[in-house]
Formats: sequence, structure tokens, C-alpha cells
Amino acid sequence: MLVALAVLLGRFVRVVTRMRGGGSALPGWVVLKLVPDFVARVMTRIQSDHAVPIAEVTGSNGKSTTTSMAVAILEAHGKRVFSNPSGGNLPQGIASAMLTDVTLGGTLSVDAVVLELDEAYGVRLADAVRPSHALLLNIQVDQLNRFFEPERVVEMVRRIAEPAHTVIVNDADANTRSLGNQFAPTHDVVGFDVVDRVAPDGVYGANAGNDAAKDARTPLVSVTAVDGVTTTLAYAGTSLAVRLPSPGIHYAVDAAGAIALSARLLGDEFNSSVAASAISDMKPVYGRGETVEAFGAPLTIVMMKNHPSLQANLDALSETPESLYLAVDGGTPDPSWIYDIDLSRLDHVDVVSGSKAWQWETRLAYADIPTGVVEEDARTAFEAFGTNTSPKRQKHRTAIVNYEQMMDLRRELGYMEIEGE
Amino acid sequence: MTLRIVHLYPRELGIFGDVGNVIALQMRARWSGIVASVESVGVSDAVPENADIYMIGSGSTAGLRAVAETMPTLARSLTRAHSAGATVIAIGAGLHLLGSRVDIADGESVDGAGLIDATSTLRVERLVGPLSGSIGKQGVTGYVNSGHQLIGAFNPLVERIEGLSIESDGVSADGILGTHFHGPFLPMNPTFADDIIEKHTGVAVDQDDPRVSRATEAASQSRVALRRELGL
Repeated sequence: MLVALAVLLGRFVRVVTRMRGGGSALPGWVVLKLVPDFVARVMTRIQSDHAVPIAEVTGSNGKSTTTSMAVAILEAHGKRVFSNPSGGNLPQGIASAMLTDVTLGGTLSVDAVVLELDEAYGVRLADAVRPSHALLLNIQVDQLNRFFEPERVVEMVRRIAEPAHTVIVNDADANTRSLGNQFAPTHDVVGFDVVDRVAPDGVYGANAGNDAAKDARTPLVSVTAVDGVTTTLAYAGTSLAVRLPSPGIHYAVDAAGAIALSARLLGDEFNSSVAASAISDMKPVYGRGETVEAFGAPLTIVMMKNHPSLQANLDALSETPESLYLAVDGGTPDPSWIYDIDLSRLDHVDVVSGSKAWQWETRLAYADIPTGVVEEDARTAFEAFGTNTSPKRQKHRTAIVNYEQMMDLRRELGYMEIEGE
Repeated sequence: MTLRIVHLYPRELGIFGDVGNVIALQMRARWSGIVASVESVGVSDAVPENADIYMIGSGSTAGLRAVAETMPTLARSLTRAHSAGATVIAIGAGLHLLGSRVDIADGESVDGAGLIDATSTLRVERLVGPLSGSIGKQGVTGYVNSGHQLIGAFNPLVERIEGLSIESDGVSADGILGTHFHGPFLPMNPTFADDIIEKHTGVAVDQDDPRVSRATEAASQSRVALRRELGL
């Protein structure tokens, strides 16, 4: 009864917040206020009704993209999948996502569940989620103001994966490789990897003392080549050509992980060419290499999340941006790591914005990269970007923005979908 | 004129962009006509003893453990260099390692290089956030993310701190400049980079050079923005 009330109230809140253009977490928050174990209840029912696999995807970078890829693959195989769309990786986000299809009795009729889990919240959610499969992407230097040390994240990810029976690990990342080794005696461990000649030189991994760990696994999927958005993956003796939603080796690794997970979830039903097409048909996930229309020309949004992800995105740029907008605000409380970034792919920045604009300008000054305008107010700054770069200099127009600025920018440009919907 | 900078253990110690301290010294010196070189020293490398400036950055527990074994070697070389007049810049875990002992979780501890009379113990609650303070009359800002506190007989570097629960931070000794400030410290507070460069080269950093003044102005505006964020 209470569940039915919570679902109805949550749906009502969702209609209201959508009308107001608000965030996606509030409906779920309301549901959890009424029924704190809502997620666990729905998951328990999913599992007890029939043997539905429940997969969780976690790690520092690539959760949203990889989850979307796995969902696309499963759906291309005709499966009904419940997932938490990009960004909704906190408990309230998952509860919000459930509101669409859950019955008033708390039943979700699906063939598989694929959830992206935040590293910290995931620890608390793992019991409620009751995962059968865990996909561990990487443990990189990320949000140290929140996580303090990579070592703590390694432990969080270990605890998230522990309840699953099958653990799929990125063997190209020293930390997830080491976790795979730890799980090997007790769990079914499946690896995916990057062949040495394609592998980046190690700048992406976090030093958590796991560098020396080797693995004895033959990878189920390997990245064998990457050229922009085109990648070649080796799976079960066959070579798969896959078009990635955005360029870069990090997206190729996400694809390898999604294919490894899907192959395990689908078993004999898995068809690798169906999987390759499913990924190739995907659009970029929300703000991650997505191209939007701004001032009459395409603008590619690159998210500045942390050192490894920004470096991977810069390394994947096919050309030096002809016009570049850079905006970072308090959502990145300590951008000290920008001094670790190799900025050699950039030759100028047109506009630097956000409350951290001057910290970026300091960094750019030391890299001797010219800046057009520094303006903390994002709205004024973005207008200046439009004026200064139109109609000329419209090739490879790029915006490097943190998550909060990405959301603001999309809203400003009339891209109204709310993340998590 | 030349300036020789040694960056100690960049792979293990440097998760908060502490390389920015090296970059600020190198670029401001170069822009002032000084030939500035940077040598990165790894855990299995010998530490050169004839450099002007040594920078050792912050790191996680794994980073601390990884460099702990090299402390006896580092202590010998760094003590000689320091006695010969070199400046040592130490941030976070790098600062802790200049003391005699660093405590890690579960009663474990590692020995430091012993250049300063201090030990590092675990804080009950981690110190994380932006802050503002003063070194002498000069205002400084930064961001601290540390689970350790330094205890011993030394003069603090930064005083009159606002924004976090501490009143002072770091170590100021002859030729040693130690702090928990990231941002990183010297790019955010470049006057101290200029003092160090002038001390070792006799050349004043050229404040009229447009590249120097751009970086100085940007840092000044960064400090204003950070103080505004702190409501100061």
C-alpha cells in the first residue's frame, strides 16, 4: 500500500518537476522518504520472480557511456532492460528511473538490469541491488576532495563487486586488474584488455600501489586498434569493427567492457555482430563528446571531469579546436590537477569562464597559451564566445566544461532533456 | 645565469598538481632570461646534490609507502644540498616525509628524511577545502586536502588562516618552505616563487615581461575569487 502511494506520489512529483524544467532526482528522493528500502524491494521482487541478471557498472570514468552501450546491446538482442540513464547513479536517481515502469505493487517486468553505480553510494546500494554481475571499469585519480585517496576508491569498488558472482574487470587498469586477481579464487572473473601497442603510457591510472599486479586471464574482449571513432575489438577469435559514440581510447575500452558484460549476461544468445552494430548506432551520451548547435554551427562538448578523462579527451582531439570555450565552476572545487594536464593539443582559448576561470587562466599563462576573454559570468562569457567566433573560425568548435557548466550550457542552448530521464 | 630544479618522485608524489610549483619556478625564471632546468628524480635514481631547488609533492598512502624506502638515501643527499644553500619546497606528504616519522593507518608508520624536527600524525577528521591566510604581510590562498597534522618545534609558514579549522599551516625554516596548500602553491602565490628565484640567481624576476605579468595578474584574480568563495 505504502509502495503504491510512493509510486503515485513520485510520478506526480516527476510531472511537476518536468514542467518546471527541474532535476531528475527529486521524484526518487520523495519515494525514498516514504519507502526507504524501495530500491531493495523492487530488486528483490525482480530476482524472486524469475532469474533476472542484475549487473552493476562502476569505476572512476566511463560509467554512463558503458552502461548505455550495454543497454543498447541487450536491447538489440530483444531484451527488456531496466537501467538508470546517465548521471542517475545515486539512490534517488535509481528510484526515479524505476518510476517509469514499476507497477503500483513494486514489480518491474524486465529481462535484465544494468545499473551504473557511484563508487561511494554504490557501497551502500550493493546490498539493495543484489547484483549478479559487476563490471569494474577503472580506478583513476578523481574527485579527491570527496574520495581523498585512490586507495579508498579501490576498497569501495571491491565492496560493490563482492556480492556479485561474476566480476568483469579492465585488465588494462592496474587497480581493477588487481581486484580481478583478488576475486579470482571466489568469483567468476572475466577480463577485458587493451593490447600493448595501443595502450596509453599509464598516465590514466591512479597509483594505489597496484602497479606490479599481473593477471593470468585471457581477455574475453581486447581493444586492438583505435583511430578516432573507429576501433577494432578482438572477441572469441573474431575481429569486430565498432564505431564509437565519441573519439578516443577510453571509449574503445568502454565498448570492450560493455561487450564482455553483455556476452556474459546473454550467454549462448550473444551475437557479436549484433553487439557491434548496437554500439555503432549509438549517439554520444549526454555532454560526453556530444555535438550541439550553437550560434549557427556545431559545437562539440567535452566534459572536464578529472585529470585522466580530460587528458584522454584532449589526446583524442583530431584537430586543434579552431575556437574553444572553457568553463569551470565550483562543481570542481579543487582544479589543482590542471597542472598535470598536457595542454599541447591547444593553441589558444577564446573564452575562459566560470568561478574557476582565473585558476584556468593562471594555468594557461604558464603554458603560454593565449586567451581571448576571461569572464567569470558564464552567460556573458558564452555570448562573447558566439560573437567572437562567428561567422569565422567554426571548424572544430569545442567547449571544455565541467559537469555543472555542461548542464547550464545545454539548457542555455535549448537542449531541454533532463539528465537521468 | 642558471637555475637547477630537481623534482623528486613526480610519479609517486604529485596527485594534486604539485608539478605546478616546478612549472611556475621554471617559467618565471625563463621569462626573466635565466636558463632554468628541471630534472625529475624517480625512486631508484640517485638524488643530485648540486641543484638550487628541490620540490617534493603530495601523495596518497600508496605514494608515501612507495618512496619510504628511499628516505635514507634522500636524507643524505638532501641534507648535503640543504646545507650548501639549496631551497626545499615540500607539499603535503612531501612535507611529512621531511620530518622524522609519518604515521599511517593501523599503527603503521614510516621514517622520514629528518630534515625538520617534526612528526606527522593522523587527523581525527580529514581537512579538506579552500582557505586563505598570510605569510608575513602577503595574503595567500589555496586548497588543502590532508589527513595528517605536523607536530614539532618549528615555525609555521602560513598564519591567520580563514576558511578551515586550522590557525596556521606548514613549516618555515631556513631554506625550507613546507605547506599543505595546493592550488598549487607557487602558481597561486607567485611572489614566493620570485623570492626563491632571486635568492638563487641574483636576478629579479622581470615583472614587466608580459608573460610574467599575465601569470601574476591571473593568480591575483584567482585569490580574489577564492576569497569571495570563502565569503571574505
